Amino acid sequence: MELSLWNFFPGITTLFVQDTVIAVGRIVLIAFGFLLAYLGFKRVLEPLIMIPMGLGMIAVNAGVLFLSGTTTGTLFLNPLVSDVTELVNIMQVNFLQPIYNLTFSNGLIACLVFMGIGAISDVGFLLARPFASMFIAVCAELGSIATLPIGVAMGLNIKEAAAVAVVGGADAPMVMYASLILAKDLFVPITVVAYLYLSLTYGGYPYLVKALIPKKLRGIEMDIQSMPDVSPKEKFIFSVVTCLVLCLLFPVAAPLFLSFFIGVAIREAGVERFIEFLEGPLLYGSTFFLGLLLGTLCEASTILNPKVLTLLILGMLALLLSGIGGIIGGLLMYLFSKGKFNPCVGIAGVSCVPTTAKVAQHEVNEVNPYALILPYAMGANVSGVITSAIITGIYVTVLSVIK
Amino acid sequence: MMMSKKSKLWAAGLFIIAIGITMVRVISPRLHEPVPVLTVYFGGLVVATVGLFIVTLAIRSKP
Repeated sequence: MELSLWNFFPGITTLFVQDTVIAVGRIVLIAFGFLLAYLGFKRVLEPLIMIPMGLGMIAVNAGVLFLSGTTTGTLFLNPLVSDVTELVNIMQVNFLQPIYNLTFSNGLIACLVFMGIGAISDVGFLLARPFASMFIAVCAELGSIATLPIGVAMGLNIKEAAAVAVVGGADAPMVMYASLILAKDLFVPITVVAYLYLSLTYGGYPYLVKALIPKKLRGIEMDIQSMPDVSPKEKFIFSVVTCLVLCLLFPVAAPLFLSFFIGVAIREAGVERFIEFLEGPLLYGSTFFLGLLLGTLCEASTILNPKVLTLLILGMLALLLSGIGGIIGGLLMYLFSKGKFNPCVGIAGVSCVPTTAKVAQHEVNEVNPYALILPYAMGANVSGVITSAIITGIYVTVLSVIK
Repeated sequence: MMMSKKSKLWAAGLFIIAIGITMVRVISPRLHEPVPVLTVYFGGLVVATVGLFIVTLAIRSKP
């Protein structure tokens, strides 16, 4: 048996036996993983996702070894295995395979995250101003709707285009859920693109607000005193009725609706033990494994899919159009209310809870430190979550019947 | 017996939601041509959304 020093370092040796493009891709992705983890550490990107994702990306691209003869692979997970016997064998080797197959590939992890989001969402702001909140949220879905035909024009099939268009809803679990059902082959790059871009909304949307809303309008003070108090009972009834109606309309997306509204209902029912569980261990545990699994799914061979560039462009376009749509909604509400509505609330219609609401309040405070718009922004924000789920439900229901 | 405003809003909202759901889940699948299917489907969604909005007002209105 021939022994050489290189056999002791398969992570490096495999770089020389693999296809050059894959080998270079591995090195680039290791560097990219470092960058994501560092930007998460510096709080430029969302640390909850980016630190586990960055480390997962580094590990999966560095930890390549010879499985048999010249076949290379990793001990993390194999996303493409479908044969049941093979799957059972692989589960005993790849340490993340059980979590991937039991929570990721069936969309369960997206639902768990959604339960946590429901438990931290206050629908009272939406119920206090239902028309303004719903109107802005619908306008902020411009990206989710307009990106679909653009994606088809750029060469994606209609299901892939719909899956990437959901990025415009700025709700990453929703993007994951939609891409798992509509474009399973592309769900890794689409979800990675979604999480990367959503981390950038905190940095990018303030420039969009400044560019599209004149400084004078950004400082408008809104009437907070006249906002009606909404009781927990009213919020509870709303969550139950809305869950029922949406599940009746979109059975395919019913798991998502149930997950969100069960979180809201438990919050409003005041079941403290469940609230603590949903908004703590469940939300953060799921987010941690979501980030880690996304990172380990970023193997060079997956990310070097030629469609990734198209997805990068479309993801950016979807979020940009949704931001513009939300701001147009805010400006229209400013006109309807005869100048009493601050159009910055519009950006909060993009449902990245609570990031976009905080962006709206921050932009207002830069011009007028005494103006408080956060309750209105949270109403649009929570409404945006429901609207994104409805758009996802429509896409999944209508397009999943297309062969 | 006179119905209160809250009850009227509840009744109207649920009735409109029922019409919307019937359009989406019952009538639309029975049609065959794509244009009528999508028209009834999205029309039903709009009707159900209006119903949900009325229910929201009903939840908020004082008894």
